[in-house]
Amino acid sequence: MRDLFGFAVCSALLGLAVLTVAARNLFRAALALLGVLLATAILFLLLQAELVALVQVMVYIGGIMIFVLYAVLLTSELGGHMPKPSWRTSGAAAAVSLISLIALAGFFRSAGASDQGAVANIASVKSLGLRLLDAGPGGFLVPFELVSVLLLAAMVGAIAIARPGGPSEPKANPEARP
Amino acid sequence: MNLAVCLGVTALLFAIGAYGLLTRRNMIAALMSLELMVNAALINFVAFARYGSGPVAQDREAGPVFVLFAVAVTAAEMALGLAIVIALHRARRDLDPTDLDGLHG
Repeated sequence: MRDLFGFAVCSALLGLAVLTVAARNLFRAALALLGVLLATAILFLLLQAELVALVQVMVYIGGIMIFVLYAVLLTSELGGHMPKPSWRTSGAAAAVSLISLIALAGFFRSAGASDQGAVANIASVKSLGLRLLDAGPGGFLVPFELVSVLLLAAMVGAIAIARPGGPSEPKANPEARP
Repeated sequence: MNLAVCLGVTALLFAIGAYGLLTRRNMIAALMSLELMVNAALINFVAFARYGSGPVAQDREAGPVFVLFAVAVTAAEMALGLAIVIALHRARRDLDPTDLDGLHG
């Protein structure tokens, strides 16, 4: 029963991923990506990584996807359709993705042999939290703090780039700027 | 669900994302394909933490912690990418990445 549910989630994930890259309407592609992220969160739950699933829902679906939908609505008309890629482009892209698939399969064949079945000692939310704030060896306190600086810098940079009158809009007379 | 199924699904997801990244002529759609590829990598981190053996088995928290950091970095990347998209749209009303050769002499 659980296996069946897992396979259903995996096939939904792949189907929605195909829809994301193939849909001609940008808004529809964004909604398909939303479905992909939701299916990924369910897959994380099936792999018993509850905290990761929660972060996936809050950051990706609650944050990034809302931003993507805003960007889609700001920059393109709702009913608009993107042009179909030429046969040459899609053929070359299919060849590249097939090569990457074969390379990954070759790598995973050796890595997949190390499968020892599900392990008993799964990382719980509590142990993950303690590990993130552990300053000793093997702890992740320094990267944890650095990430907050990175997010602050990204926020300032995004506002500076996107605001009206920012660097994207060259003024008629650059010397007139204070 | 076992490791082989997870690895197969993520390899396919990565290949689909690579195809989209190369064919899309709209910058937002290309960024969304990039998200698919990142997602494949994130699923693999968790799958190896759950099913892997060897050195991975010594440290059960490392995989999920890496995913948390990767999600934060991806959030920063998407914020900047979409800010650039909005600035580009305001400046030239065109989001085709192949036309962006303004720095090309």
